[in-house]
Amino acid sequence: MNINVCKALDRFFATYYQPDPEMKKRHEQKLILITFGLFIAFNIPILLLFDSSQNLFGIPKVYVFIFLVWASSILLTFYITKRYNE
Amino acid sequence: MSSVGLLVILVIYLSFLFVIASWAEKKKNSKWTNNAYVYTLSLAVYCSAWTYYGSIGVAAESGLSYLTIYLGPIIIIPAWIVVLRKIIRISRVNKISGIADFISLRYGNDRFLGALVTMVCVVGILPYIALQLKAISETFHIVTGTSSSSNILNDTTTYVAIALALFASYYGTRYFDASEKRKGIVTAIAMESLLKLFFFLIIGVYVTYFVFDGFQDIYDQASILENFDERNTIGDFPQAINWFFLCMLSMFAIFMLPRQFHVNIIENNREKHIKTAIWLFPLYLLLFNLFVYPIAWGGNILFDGVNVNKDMYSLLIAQLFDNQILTLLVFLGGFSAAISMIVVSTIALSTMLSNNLLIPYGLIGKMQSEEQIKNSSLILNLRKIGIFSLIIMAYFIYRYFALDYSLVSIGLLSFVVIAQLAPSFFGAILWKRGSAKGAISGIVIGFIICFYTLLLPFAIGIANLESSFITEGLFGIEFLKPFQLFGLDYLEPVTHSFFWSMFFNFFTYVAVSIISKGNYRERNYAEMYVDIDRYITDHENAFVWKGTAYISDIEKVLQRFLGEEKTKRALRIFNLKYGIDKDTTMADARLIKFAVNLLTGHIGTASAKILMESVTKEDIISLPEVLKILEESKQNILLNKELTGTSRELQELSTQLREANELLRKKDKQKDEFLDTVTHELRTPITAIRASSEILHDDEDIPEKLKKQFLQNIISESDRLNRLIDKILDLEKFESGKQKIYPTENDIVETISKAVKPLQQLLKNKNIDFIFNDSQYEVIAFYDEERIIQVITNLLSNSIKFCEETLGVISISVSKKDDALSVDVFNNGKNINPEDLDAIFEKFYQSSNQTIKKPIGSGLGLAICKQIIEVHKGNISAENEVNGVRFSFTIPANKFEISEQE
Repeated sequence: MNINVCKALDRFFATYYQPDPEMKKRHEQKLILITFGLFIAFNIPILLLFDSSQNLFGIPKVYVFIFLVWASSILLTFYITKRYNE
Repeated sequence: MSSVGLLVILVIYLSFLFVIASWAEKKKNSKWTNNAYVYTLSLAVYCSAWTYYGSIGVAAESGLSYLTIYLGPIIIIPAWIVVLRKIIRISRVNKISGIADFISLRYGNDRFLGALVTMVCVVGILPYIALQLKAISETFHIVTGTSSSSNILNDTTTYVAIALALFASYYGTRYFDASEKRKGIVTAIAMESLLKLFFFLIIGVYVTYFVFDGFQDIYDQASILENFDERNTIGDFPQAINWFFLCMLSMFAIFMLPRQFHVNIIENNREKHIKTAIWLFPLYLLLFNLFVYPIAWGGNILFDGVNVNKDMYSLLIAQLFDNQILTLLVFLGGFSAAISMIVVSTIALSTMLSNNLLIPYGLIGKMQSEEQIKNSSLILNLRKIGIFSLIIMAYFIYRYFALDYSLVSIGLLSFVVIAQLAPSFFGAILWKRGSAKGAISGIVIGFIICFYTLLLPFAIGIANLESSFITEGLFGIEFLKPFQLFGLDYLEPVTHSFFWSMFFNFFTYVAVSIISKGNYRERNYAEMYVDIDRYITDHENAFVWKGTAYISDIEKVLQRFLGEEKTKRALRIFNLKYGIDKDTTMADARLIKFAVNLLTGHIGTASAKILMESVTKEDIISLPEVLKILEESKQNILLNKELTGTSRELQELSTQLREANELLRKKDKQKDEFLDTVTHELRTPITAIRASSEILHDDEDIPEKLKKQFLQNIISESDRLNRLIDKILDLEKFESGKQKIYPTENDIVETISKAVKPLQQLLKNKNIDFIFNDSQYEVIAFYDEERIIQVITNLLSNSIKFCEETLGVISISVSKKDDALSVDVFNNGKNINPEDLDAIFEKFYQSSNQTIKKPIGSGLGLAICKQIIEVHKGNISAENEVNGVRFSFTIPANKFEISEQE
């Protein structure tokens, strides 16, 4: 395509294209990112960094780590679904 | 507590469930039963007796690995927002009633694959149900203080199992259409999920804060016990690998366990409920796991040195402190967990057994000649018997195979068997090339390996030292030792089996799919599954089918399963949706798919296919043809979006909405739609070009003739693209005021003659009576001749398109009054919908009654005409006449007025 046509098309799209007010794809991707994060946090090698039965708040450290990650993923997911729920 | 007393309590509890179910059934559509919380709680059927009792056993006995069963789901659940929605959509439009339907339909509705998946599920889930019965029966004995009898006729729990089987078979088969929502059961399951969590939290708090003095106290006492460190860490690297595989295993299970598929997918009412479930369900699981560690280690402290079943710590602790009520509550919680798993699993399995195995492989022949009432009762009875015998079979498995195993090891075995469906399941929604052959061979190979490395050793008995099979391998070959296959010796039996079976399963699936070519039907469903979002509103259009079929034949088949009234109603709705005349005799692809869907809900995909094949004659279509038809249907889908996409319910809603925001939204909407259409219109030719060139590029052996045809395609599509872009540019220039016109003095009669000339041949070919007096006196006016020719050509070709087919009449007349020149173009075609008279001049407007054929042209013609006339300071309009349609435009004839504007 020659440059003029390209420019015209650009102008054309700029006039008519406006982001969808309900566009959730971006927010959905945030959730998918959480999945990736959890996958990494709950597996080797990260998990083994916290692999200890030392006392932390009365429970072994590794439990604390797992439950903290778990709880924060719930909070994040909750926040994202509520905040971007159009 | 006495056995009789406990039995009475169980009966009361079951009746309570019954009351809830029938209450919910009556309130089907109320917000009490139909909300995201009920949906989420029903997902918690995942937490069976295994969670309730087994987790504690693992935490006490071997350590953290019980958590993997929940971490797998936790990891994948945020992504449900996309993945689960996709599966729900696919299942909804195809009326899928179980995982066997889901997988087999994708691979070309393969009957054998459906049966295979069913068998895998039955083999996998029976031990799992046995696990629940084992838990019920053992806890029953603990609570009543009785001991299990070796004669099953003397064991009270045998009768409990029979009662449960009767209960479940009555409770689970109230619906004939298997894809219909069972609100009653789902609500009861949700209630049970609340109860089991609540009771578990009570015992958790009791053990932590009443028996002990909080977490710190338990830690202090437990940490001096033997093995404390070892059992509260993941351990070394091989154990971390085990951990990883267990996470993967449970991640598959949350999708593919038949009961999970049932509550996640089939019982989902609204897609938006997923949004709540993705945070609430992990929260539920978190709460359920919070007190596993304190109960397990509390038990270890209290029962240090005593030989008890660690799975039962929660009950045993309550009993140890002689707390009758707590013991009962814990027992009831476990009973709830077990029974909800049993009910949902057996409903799902019995549906699969009848729809994917028994009916398509036998009963379908008989059903074809039966009346609707008989067929319905036959199917219902089939499912009833199915549920009953599944539970009884599970009870025997428990009594004769699973007596000695811990709850968790039985559950994991089921997970590994079910995981064999994973490659073809995920392949179904992600990969278009995956084929039936690949899926079948993958599942078979995977299952064989899983049988060899897990099921067989378990059936023989792991602890059975006399069996040389386990210690020395098959025929004494060390390489074939079932727990160390090919010398892999650092994985635990479950993960070992999972790894090898998945490895071979996956590679076979992919390799066979790549090597062999799928048939057109597979490819058709592959498109539909993978690109479901594109077909969601008009999925019938996505079904490719060519051949001959009579509507009356199809109607007869439908009546045998739906009854006369329902059939009539369904067909009426169908005709309405697609604007099909009720006197049509031949069925098209959309009707075939519609009928298949109706039948699928009742008898499953495989049988629906058999029935349809018995009354229709299908022509074989080639793969490229499928792709081409799909491409065309995509266009149709976009065209019909407005008219057909929304269901009646949605339409009602949107009329209300529209009334409210009409003015505000109109402009915005037009913009969006315009953009949609433009991008689509641009993409269609590009896709066609790309597809053709891809074929040419990839396949060098195409016959010369076909090659020519493809090249011709490319050329004509490029032209189309070119024309389209020209038009868009034209329109854009006009709209942004950049387009100038060059008015000169002209004779409109002559201009019209010029415009008509190139169309004369077409008029002749179509036998249209064309009336225009080109020898009349000249009518002078000022205008840009080229542009006005464009307008007239457009109006004329429009008229040609829409005028009466056999006796077409088109006339053009000219008049000049008070310095205004007007031109009328009349055709005797169908009237335009009065509401649309203005709208037709909008961009990409396509009249709503042409749903079947896509009209030729871009939909930009009239919009450009309007712009041209407006630049001339005139106006253009359309009006209906008694016997046709009149388009007319008026422009000022005076030179002065026009030149003033530029």
